[in-house]
Amino acid sequence: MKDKGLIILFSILALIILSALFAPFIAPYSPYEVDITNKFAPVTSSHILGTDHLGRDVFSRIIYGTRMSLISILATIFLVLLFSLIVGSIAGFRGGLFDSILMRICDVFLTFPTFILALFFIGVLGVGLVNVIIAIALTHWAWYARIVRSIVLETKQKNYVTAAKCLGSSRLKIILKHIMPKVLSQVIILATLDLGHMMLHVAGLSFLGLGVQAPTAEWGVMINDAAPYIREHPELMLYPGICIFITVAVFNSIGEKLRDIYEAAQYSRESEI
Amino acid sequence: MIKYIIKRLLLIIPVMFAVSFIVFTVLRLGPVDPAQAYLLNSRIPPTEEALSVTRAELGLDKPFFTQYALWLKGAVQLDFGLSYMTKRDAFGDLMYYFPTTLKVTFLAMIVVIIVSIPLGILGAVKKDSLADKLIKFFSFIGVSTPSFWFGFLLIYVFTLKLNILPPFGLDGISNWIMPILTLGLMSSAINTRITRTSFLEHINNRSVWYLKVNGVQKSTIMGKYVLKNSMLPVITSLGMHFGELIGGAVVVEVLFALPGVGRYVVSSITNHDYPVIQCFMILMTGVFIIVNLIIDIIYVYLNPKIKYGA
Amino acid sequence: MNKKLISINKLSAGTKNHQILHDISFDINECEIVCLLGQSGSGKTMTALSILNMLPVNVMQTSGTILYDDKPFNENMRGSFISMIMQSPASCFDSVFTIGAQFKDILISNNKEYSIERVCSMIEKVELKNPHDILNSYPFQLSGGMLQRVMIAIALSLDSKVIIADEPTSDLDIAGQKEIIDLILKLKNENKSILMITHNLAVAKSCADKIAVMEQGRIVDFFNKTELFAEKRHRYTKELISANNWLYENKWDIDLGENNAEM
Repeated sequence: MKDKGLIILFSILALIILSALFAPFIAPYSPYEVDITNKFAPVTSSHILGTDHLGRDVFSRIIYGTRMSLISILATIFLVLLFSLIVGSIAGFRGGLFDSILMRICDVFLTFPTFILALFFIGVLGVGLVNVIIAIALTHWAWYARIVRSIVLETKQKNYVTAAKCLGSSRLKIILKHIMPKVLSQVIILATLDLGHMMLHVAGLSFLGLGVQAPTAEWGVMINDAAPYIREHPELMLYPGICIFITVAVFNSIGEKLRDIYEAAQYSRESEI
Repeated sequence: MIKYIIKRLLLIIPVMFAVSFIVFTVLRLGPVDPAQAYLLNSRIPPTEEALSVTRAELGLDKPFFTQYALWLKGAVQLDFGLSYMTKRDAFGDLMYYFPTTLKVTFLAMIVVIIVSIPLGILGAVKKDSLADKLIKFFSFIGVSTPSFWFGFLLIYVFTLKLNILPPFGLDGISNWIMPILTLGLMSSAINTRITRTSFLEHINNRSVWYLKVNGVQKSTIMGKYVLKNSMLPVITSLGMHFGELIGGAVVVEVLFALPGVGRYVVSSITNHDYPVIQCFMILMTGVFIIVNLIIDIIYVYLNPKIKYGA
Repeated sequence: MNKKLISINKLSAGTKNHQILHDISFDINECEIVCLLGQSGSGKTMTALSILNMLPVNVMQTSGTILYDDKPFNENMRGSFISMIMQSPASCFDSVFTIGAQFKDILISNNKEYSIERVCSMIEKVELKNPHDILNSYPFQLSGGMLQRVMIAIALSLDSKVIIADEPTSDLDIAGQKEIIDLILKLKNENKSILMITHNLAVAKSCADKIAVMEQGRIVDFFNKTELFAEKRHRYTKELISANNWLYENKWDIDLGENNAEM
């Protein structure tokens, strides 16, 4: 890994992950410890980012917020990949009627505007973080299923797969050894590029009061909590917003770098052949 | 061409049919029974007796397909039932708010187009210049910023600090500026990138090279050949942006207290107000499908490869 | 002696760490067909790109000069003094504009008269029927051979002194190749000079007045067509000749002399 930018990006990502993992050790206070007498405390050595309208330590809430963001986004992407890999591979490998039916189902999902569909699923499932995760996964899987299917179809026809078939490799072996690595590498890059976008959807739903509920320490909720005090204490809104921005930006940049590297590798491989 | 348009228009019917079926079915599959939701909204305790009365009242005791057929029959005549919350006609309620939502969405769409396309082209033509770097920076910021947070920043700067834009209300043009900027930021950023990439890809095309080597001026090549070709993928992506915008409009309406469907729908969602949710979905998806149809027609009109079936 | 239209003198070019062209020198005179012969990667296309001043961004001319009618290069020469016919014509035309629109833009950009009658007569000259239909069609509606002819018609209407033809026959079957070569010979009769780039000795032999053989970025052999079978030919030329003889069953019935190249 010679790329300097990538090293910096991964360092920031590691920092985000570490603060999520070790939140209880890093945060100086409990994120829920209310101290009304000490509300809107300025930046001091004991409260390095001050306190909010209930006197809770902002820095501690930010650190704990990392957890919520990462957990929700990882759960979402896990569900998306699970659905799409299953549906996309079956459609690609089996073909025929299976393929047509599954793809028509995908088409219907793609007919709806994404965010509106997410609102609908929350309407069905009810308000809350778990339901937001399911809703966002349900609105994104169809895109991925189509991509998985097309990669499977494309790889199936590649010469090296045909060669493996002719040499008598079993079907399962071909799938695991030749097709899946290709599908996974491409889908994971796409997922990295999409993580940030999904995170913004989660934050947007939290802002509407449909996702994570107060008093949970979550960045979207913190922005919402700070809204009434924007005139006097704009910094309370600034911190969580910057956190969302940085996390999304890091995911976007890593996704782009990975895509560039993959495309360059793909290009040099093809030109060699 | 006319044949194609008629074919696509006719195709809307089965698509809307599928959409309505899914909306109706999925709501029934949810954990909350409509009768229970109705009672909760009416502040009546959901006793067994009350539930069975409500079921009969709402026709929920009938077989599933009969229920769907009845609902669909009403929906075709724009009767989506009464809201559980307000006990008023769900369609009428939504139509009261809907024009504002459409206005915000379309204005944002126009802003996206007039901001992103020139910026994307400028970036591509002046690749690696200072302008290009600034444009890339703008798209980077735009795709990573939560829109509602950006809206709050705008309110802070333009309303609270500079006091030049009103935060709420709909008295004049100035009221629309911040909502539209908030809504349009993300899509403008994404579309700037798409335009830039598409333009750059086409600059390296062999057909461009052929024109250049035979002495065609750069202005003709860029302004005519590269422009038209690079706009094709951009036009397709506008359909996707419209979906993002109409969804984002809900957030922006809540943020800037605009009288669009946003706040009404959010409370319907938290209160399981099924008739309103169903009507909302049909309305939004219908608009989305129609806008995409128009975009597809423009695309086919501009791309002879499809027009002449090659 | 005919006038020198293009004179290349000790041209070298390359990327930062790799030399692509070494000391290329040759002239293109009025009314003659010069063939650059060599395999892919031998530098023949790079030579053509240098003449057009259209080298890729990472490749630079390191030394040497190219004179056009005794003048240095200027951008207006593209189209009006040198025009080009490319290979794989299907990707050389823009698919969202008609052939006619592209024909028109190329002519008008070079201040050439554009009228339907003139263009149609040019299209008929390259033996295409229904010129009006051709002008109104899109590139994907025509075959590769037809598009290659359209390119020749464009070059013809441009009235440029020099035409560079980069492998114009490579995508065609053998009958199509012959027809294109006939057209190129016809261009010569219209007082054009042609720089023909090809990897095919048979193609070169059928139309060239002079042949420059390129190998690894150098011109290893340069001769008049009549001297093709002379004994002093370079080793590589002889290899090409004997390969060709073997492939076409020695129908040329040629004695290569004592230094027969080994196959």
